[in-house]
Amino acid sequence: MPQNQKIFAILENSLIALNGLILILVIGQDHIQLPSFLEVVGRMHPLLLHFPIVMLFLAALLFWFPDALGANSKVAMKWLLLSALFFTGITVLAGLFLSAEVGYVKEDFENHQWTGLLVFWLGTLWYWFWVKEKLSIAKGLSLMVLVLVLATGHFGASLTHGEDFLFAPLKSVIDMPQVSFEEALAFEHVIKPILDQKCISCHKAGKIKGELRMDEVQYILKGGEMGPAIDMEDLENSQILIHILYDLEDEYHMPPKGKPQLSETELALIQNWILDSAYFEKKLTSYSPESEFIALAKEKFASQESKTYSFKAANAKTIAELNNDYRKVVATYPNSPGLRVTFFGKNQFDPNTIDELKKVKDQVVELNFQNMPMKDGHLQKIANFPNLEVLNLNFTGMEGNNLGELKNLKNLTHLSLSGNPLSESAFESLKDFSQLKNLYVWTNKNADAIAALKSQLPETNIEGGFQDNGTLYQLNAPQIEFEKSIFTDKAEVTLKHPIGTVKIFYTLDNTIPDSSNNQVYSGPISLDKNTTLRARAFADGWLGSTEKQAVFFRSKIQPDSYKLTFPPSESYKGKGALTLFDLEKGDEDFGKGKWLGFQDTPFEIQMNFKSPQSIQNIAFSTLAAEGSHIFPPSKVEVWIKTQNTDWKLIDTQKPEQPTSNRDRMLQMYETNINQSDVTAIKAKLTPINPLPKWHPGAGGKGWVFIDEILIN
Amino acid sequence: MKCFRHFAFILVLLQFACKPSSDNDITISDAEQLSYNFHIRPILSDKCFACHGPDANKREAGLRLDVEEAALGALKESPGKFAIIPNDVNGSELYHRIVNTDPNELMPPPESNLSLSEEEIGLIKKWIEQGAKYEPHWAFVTPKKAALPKVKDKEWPKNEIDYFTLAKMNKLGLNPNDEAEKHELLKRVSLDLTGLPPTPEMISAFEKDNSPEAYKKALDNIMNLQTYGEKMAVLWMDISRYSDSYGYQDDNIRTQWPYRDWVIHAFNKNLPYDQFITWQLAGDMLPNATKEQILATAFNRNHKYTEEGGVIPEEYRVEYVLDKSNTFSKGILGITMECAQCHDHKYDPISQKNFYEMFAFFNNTPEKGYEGDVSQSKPAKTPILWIEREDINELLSFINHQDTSKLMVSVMDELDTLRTTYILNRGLYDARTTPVSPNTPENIFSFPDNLPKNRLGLAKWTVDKNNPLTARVFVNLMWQEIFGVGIVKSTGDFGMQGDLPSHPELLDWLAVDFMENGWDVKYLLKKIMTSATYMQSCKVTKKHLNTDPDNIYLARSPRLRLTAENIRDLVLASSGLLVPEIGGPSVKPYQPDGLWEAATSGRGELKTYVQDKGDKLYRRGLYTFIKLTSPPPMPIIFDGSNRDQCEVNRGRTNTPLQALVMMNDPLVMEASRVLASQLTEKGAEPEDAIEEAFKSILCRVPNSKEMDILFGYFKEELSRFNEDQASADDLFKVGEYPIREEKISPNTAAMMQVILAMYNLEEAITKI
Amino acid sequence: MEKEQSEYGLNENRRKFLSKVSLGIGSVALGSLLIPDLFKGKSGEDALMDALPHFAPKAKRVIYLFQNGAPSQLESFDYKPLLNQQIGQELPDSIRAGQRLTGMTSGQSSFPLVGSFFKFNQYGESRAWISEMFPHTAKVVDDICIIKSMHTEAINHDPALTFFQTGAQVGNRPSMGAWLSYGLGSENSNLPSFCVLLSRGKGNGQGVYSKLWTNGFLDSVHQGVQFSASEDPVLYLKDPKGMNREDRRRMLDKLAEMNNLNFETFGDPEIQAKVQQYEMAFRMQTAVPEVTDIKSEPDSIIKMYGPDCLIPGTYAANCLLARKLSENGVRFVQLYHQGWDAHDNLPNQFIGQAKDVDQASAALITDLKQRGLLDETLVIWGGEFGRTNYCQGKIQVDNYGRDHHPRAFSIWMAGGGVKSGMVYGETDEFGYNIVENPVHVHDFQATILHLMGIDHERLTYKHLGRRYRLTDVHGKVVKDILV
Repeated sequence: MPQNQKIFAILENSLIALNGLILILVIGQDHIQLPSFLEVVGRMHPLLLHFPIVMLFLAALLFWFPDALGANSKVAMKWLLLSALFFTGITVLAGLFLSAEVGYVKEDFENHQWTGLLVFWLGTLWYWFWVKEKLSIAKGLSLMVLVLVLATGHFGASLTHGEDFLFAPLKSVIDMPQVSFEEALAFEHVIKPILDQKCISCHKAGKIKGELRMDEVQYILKGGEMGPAIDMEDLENSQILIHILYDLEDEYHMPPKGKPQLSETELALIQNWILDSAYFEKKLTSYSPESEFIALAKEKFASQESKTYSFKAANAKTIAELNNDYRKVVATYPNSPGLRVTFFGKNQFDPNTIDELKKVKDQVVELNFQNMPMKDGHLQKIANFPNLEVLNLNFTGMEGNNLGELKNLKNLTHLSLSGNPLSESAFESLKDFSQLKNLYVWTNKNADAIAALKSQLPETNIEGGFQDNGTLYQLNAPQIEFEKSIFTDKAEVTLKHPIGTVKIFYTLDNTIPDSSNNQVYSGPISLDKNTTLRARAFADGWLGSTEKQAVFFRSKIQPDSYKLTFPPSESYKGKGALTLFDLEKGDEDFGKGKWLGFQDTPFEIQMNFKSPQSIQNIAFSTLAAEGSHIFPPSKVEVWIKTQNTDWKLIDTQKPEQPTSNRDRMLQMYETNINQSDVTAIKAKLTPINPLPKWHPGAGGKGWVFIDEILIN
Repeated sequence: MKCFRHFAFILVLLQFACKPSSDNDITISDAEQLSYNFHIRPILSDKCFACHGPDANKREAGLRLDVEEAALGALKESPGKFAIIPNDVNGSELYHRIVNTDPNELMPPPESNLSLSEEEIGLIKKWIEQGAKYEPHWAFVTPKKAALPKVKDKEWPKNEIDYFTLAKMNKLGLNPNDEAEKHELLKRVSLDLTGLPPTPEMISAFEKDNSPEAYKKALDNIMNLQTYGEKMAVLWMDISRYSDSYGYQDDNIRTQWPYRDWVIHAFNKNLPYDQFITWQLAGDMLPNATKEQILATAFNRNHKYTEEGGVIPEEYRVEYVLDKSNTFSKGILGITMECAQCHDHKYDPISQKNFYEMFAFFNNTPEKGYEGDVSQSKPAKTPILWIEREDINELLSFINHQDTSKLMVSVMDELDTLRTTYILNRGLYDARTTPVSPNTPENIFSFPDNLPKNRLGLAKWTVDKNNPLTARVFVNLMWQEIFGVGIVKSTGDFGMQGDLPSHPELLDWLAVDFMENGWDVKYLLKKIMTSATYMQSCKVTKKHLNTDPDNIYLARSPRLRLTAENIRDLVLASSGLLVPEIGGPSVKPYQPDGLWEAATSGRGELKTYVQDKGDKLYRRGLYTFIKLTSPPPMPIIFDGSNRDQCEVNRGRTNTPLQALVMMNDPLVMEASRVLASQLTEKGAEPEDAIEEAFKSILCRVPNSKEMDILFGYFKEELSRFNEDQASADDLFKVGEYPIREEKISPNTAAMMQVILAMYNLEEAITKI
Repeated sequence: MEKEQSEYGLNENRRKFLSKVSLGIGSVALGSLLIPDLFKGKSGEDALMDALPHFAPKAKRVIYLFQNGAPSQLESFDYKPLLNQQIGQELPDSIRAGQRLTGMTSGQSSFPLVGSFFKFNQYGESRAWISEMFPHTAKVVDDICIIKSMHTEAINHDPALTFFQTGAQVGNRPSMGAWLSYGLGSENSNLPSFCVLLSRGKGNGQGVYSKLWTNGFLDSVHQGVQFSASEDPVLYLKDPKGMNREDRRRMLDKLAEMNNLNFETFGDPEIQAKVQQYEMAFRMQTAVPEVTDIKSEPDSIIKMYGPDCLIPGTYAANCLLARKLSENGVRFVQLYHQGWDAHDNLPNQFIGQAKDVDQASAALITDLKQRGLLDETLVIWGGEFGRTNYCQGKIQVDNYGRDHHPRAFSIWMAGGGVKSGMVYGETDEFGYNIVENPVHVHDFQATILHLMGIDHERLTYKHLGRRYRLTDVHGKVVKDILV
């Protein structure tokens, strides 16, 4: 009968297919991820399983008593066995699907699964050998199959009807309650999870150590051989308390050494809960906020994130697609369905891309547009996110005229509008936002409007931010920019200030610039003689700045030969005397080798000119850095020698000494000579000794630092 | 139930057959009999030894799993029970604990944040069933030459190496790639041996030469270039944590560079590796040691020195000795001992005692912990080697020292009296416990009695033919230099936690061969580079990516981004800017402003970055001045070592900052500019100019498509600059290399842009 | 890379599998459809990294105002009138209790106590004592949490700084910012996730070291990016003159074209990865200047931070810049301000240093607060250790010095889930030892990670055979200061 043959063929092939499929699923069991429609198939397992059982038995009957149906029995047998196995396969498949559902723990159904599988596999073999006429083997197999069917049945039964078959596996999974702090119960959601984790394994039905069960409240109260685990009459003596407080080494300590111990918090939680009269039904919220227990519980909830959402999480793929270089869409916290959306890059921002978020409009709970250019018109786009809680519109440039659009976002608790030119109507409409917990409206103008708002929204924390109450702050000094501070004929100087709007006043006569004597800086200043430039910045709403100084030197004449009487100190010898005529100004960093330093010996130099020179003046550029023991010289002396006169002292200065540490500064001692036939000059700068009383190094020797000598 | 278990087990087996072969594990199909070293130890070591390993203080329940006797013995805390009973899974408590679902029972305990995967559990199960045989750690067994494996394709192998690699490839059903193009080969060889690209002349010469010996000849020529030493030195500078400053807060200048000159010299004259090591460890203790041998010991003195006022000298002296012994163990022995500094090693059989016995070898120098603050800073610290002019004229001619001044280098020396070494509790300098004397970890290779118990003895021990590590580690380093990844991936850790060799037999074969041939480094490199494995093309196929994405089995030649130094070298060399001078003090090329100034304490000679001028701007990357507290940014961005401590392998990342450097670093722009002007001065037609530049930068002829794109770009830029001379001028005014043409022609500027683009091609800075 | 590899691995499994099991192919296909990650073994690291953050973070970003050189707690937040009463008297041995000394004072024959030259007042609801040197900080006292009981192990700057930043006194471990970058990645993919800003005052400087923001053994992408005061805030960021955005764009397009040609021949994914990196570089080139541009700041902001904030490289400018980077999604902004190491002439140096940092630090708090960002941004102010209650060198009421003191010092934290208006921990009346709620550097680090939603014991990286942690094997989260 070709008809039969075809069907047999189909059945046989599907049998092979089933075998393959099942094998894979078994191997990959722990990785199976079921589309929901297959879950349905899975749940049909309990129903399906009845078919194969019956059919297999019938098949067996026919197999052992071939003559039962006379001539056709072989065909019938083939029919029966094939379809029996087919159903077995389907059932096993369904079983595997079912096992993949959450809530099933392998160990519980392992036996059932293996026996079931074997029924199928051995059954297949049975059929195989039978077809191949290897009857003896087939017989053996058939018997095995029957036995296995029974076994499977048994395991299956104990699986479905066994004690708390559904919840046992779940228990071990529970770590912290999935409820929010608000609805949590003291025992159910805080204490019990701890017991489940650390105690139950030895104190439960079936494993009642110390005759104590802790899997149900009544048993806990009943207690074990040592008495009530929690003694309502005498809380301090509750056995739980006593045992967990024993020293770890103590044999009575619980949980026993080697088992996972209670963490400090857990211990504290149990302890405080019991001593706080061990309420089993009490809500956390109804404890007094002062109670230690609540503090700890809060902490535990905090690290748990109390928030729970009614809506389902969005599809991961969708979320991934919504992410790009300028927009981040991420879960608000690990495996939260809520999404936080942040926009970056104001030049790339296009308000219309907000609409792309429609796909996840229910999940979006935080929107961050700060610094993105937006118009009031875009607000209604935002109104489309019903579950929005946090909205950041700082510095978006909107006036907020139709903020009203957002009024109906009932979950909106944080609204940031800082830095926007908010209009009056904006503040008007904000009055209706009673749902807000926090409102940020810093604009540095609408102080009054903000104050008003505060009275209208007493429940809301309104952050007005920094208000410029007219206190005047001092400007910082302008910057003086130039190439070289020593020049041979001309120097160009520019003045700058970071705040564009300031006026820069400056003087060239070494007087402090103020409204009287100053010139206002307009463009680069050109200098052609030794000059001390002093500048200050002024602007409305600011106090005038501190002054900035720079000293410029012109150096026309260079001696033909010169000699230092005493060498400079080893550590500050620069390029020797040459340093003094290299037109290289040293800066305040005197370690750089552009300075000569003298401490034990005075600075003394003689400069000779081959041909007599007409010299107006000579200047010594020095450093004062009291912090580093570098002081103005105690004495400056200058001698000259002309063609017809011998050495004569023409100038002695005793520079004024500082009375406290000052910032490092460059100083200049100038001596007028005004002689036409100078052949040599001698100069001596004597270091201060001893250092003044006020100085940390008082009593020690001071330093003189000099970097240039300028002759004009 | 048992039969079901077996059934389950067959399935588990099936799983292994389908396990991904990640770096470490060999799939079962490769080895029916599980190997403790290759399958089990990695698991135990990673997941169990922390509490059941060598560290006596941290050992839980008195159970120790790293030693056979202990692991098979009765459990201390549950009498009658056994952690492991060979061939009896059910009897083995260990198995029950790792499959347990009760968190109280489960091992590793959940709190440890460690867990065993299904595969791992399955492996352990099978191993127990197979009799739970332990093996000594592979790396601590003296290597032996194994017989060459059989391979189907007898044609392909060029030398022994290929048999080992091919055998592995075949197992995975991979076939080797075809041989690379000639120009690719030459570029590869040249970069590997000298860190410089071959000149177009070299390439065309090689391409013309069709003799069978052509490749070997080219190889020899390149290997004999002095630039070989410079290339090899880069690696050794990382290992010897070379730097030009003292590190720590004031970070003043020092002069260790003569040591660098020596390393270059040593590689160039192909000093056998055993001597190379002996000199560096104990050159000063050799009978009538030469100044060269003493100079070599600077290896031990390159670490940081504090000049911070007010430190406690002993605290730092100890720190220095620690650095010495850690560098020795990591860089030369390939063992990380740091852990044993504070407690017995958790994973390797190295006790705290072992560590301080090793420490003792280096603890007998006159070195001081503190020689005064930065104001008294000198370019070297005691003990010091003085190098006079005549030394340089005679023995130390390799030192590139221009002026006449004496040089001082920090080197090694021994105290006359033995300083007692103590075990330092938790590694604290002031927590001395039991005194110990110099010795080496018995578990690696115990110290022969006939050797003196000092650094010289240590050196002899290190290069002893029976030392299981030294040769393996160096061979592996060389392999890493060439293939990017070592046969043992964790170059610095051959210990229990380190990666397992992908080709264990090959590694051993090479190591033994290396020693048999007198520790001849050039021989080793030649061996590797004449293998068919090395000469494959680097084409990547889907099959490669699926079967062997990390190219562990080398069915293709790796494509590797050049090291920081060699990127600089390539830019300089291809543009003709390179100043080929060898050795000498470090140089300060262009560097973005303000880096040193922003970070300095305001003290010491290095508080401001004084950029060099002229030739010094165009020296090889090896010579760039390294200030520890503010290392040169470009090398760091390209994964260079910050030289803070001994490094044996660098990362090879790919980041946007790297792109920025290649686009905007004045050096690259200057190079493009100079090359552009050279070409235009020669009056070459744009196309030819482009082709020529392409040849010298990418070492090959551009194909027509590439030519079109580049020439297209050239024309775009040309028309841009024709309209906008100003931009041309701005772009051109980069770098200090003199601009010859009085007026910058849009033509040259455009060419400069095209060349800059070439430098920014992925291929340009990649070894193909 | 990890990920990709395992995916390749996965394909490999399927392939092998097909070749091995010769049963009904169709069924296998179906089977493997139901098992997306068939046999995929997760490496420990993977498993960890997937899970990050471990729990809901309180803070999303950190701004760390490091006061480099160790400001004296006794002139700032730890008010000890006794030291003024007993000025010049010897520090009792019972108090010093064998504390080791630096080489700078170990030579000293006596340890005369010295009190603060500056006056203290109480502020805010917490009635916290703050010295007159910090008037602006005093104004925001109810937004900060002052910890007076910090202690560390190192007594010298380099190891102490390194300890604070990397969890170890020596060695080349990743710094805190690198760990966070590795753990949480960047919020804004166009900016580095870890930025470093340097400034220095006139006081005695101690230098900062790039190893303080090193990536250690982590990928170099996690290294702190040092911003410079020059007009090129990020190294090599600025296109050269004569190269505008369009020109650069054209160049990148050519490069992409060329590289793709190359990819066709060589098929190495790295080539495409490179193209991506160039694109990101290009985006950074626009993003960074956009973010760091201070000209766009309103005058009132300038007034808050003080006019110095307009001068690049000043502490004030860095605080302002820190806010801008942070609000644009930079995970960790690390500031260093040098100059607090007053071994002598302390009052004088302290005035300058305090003037540098007080206004801008307080402004940063106010600024974040008025934008509603303070709750999600953790701000930290403090140095590497404290200073001794006895005088180093010559002693005068208005001119004295203090040596390094690791046993007790003060820092403050604000925002990001830290209790505001709180003073935590207490020292003895000599300000020498902690008598209440000590906070060790590792506890401090553990707490920062906790606030960022990370369990400090689970943020690990396996390097050379060992799992490393920022907190080594120590650290307890300081629960008391958490909201």
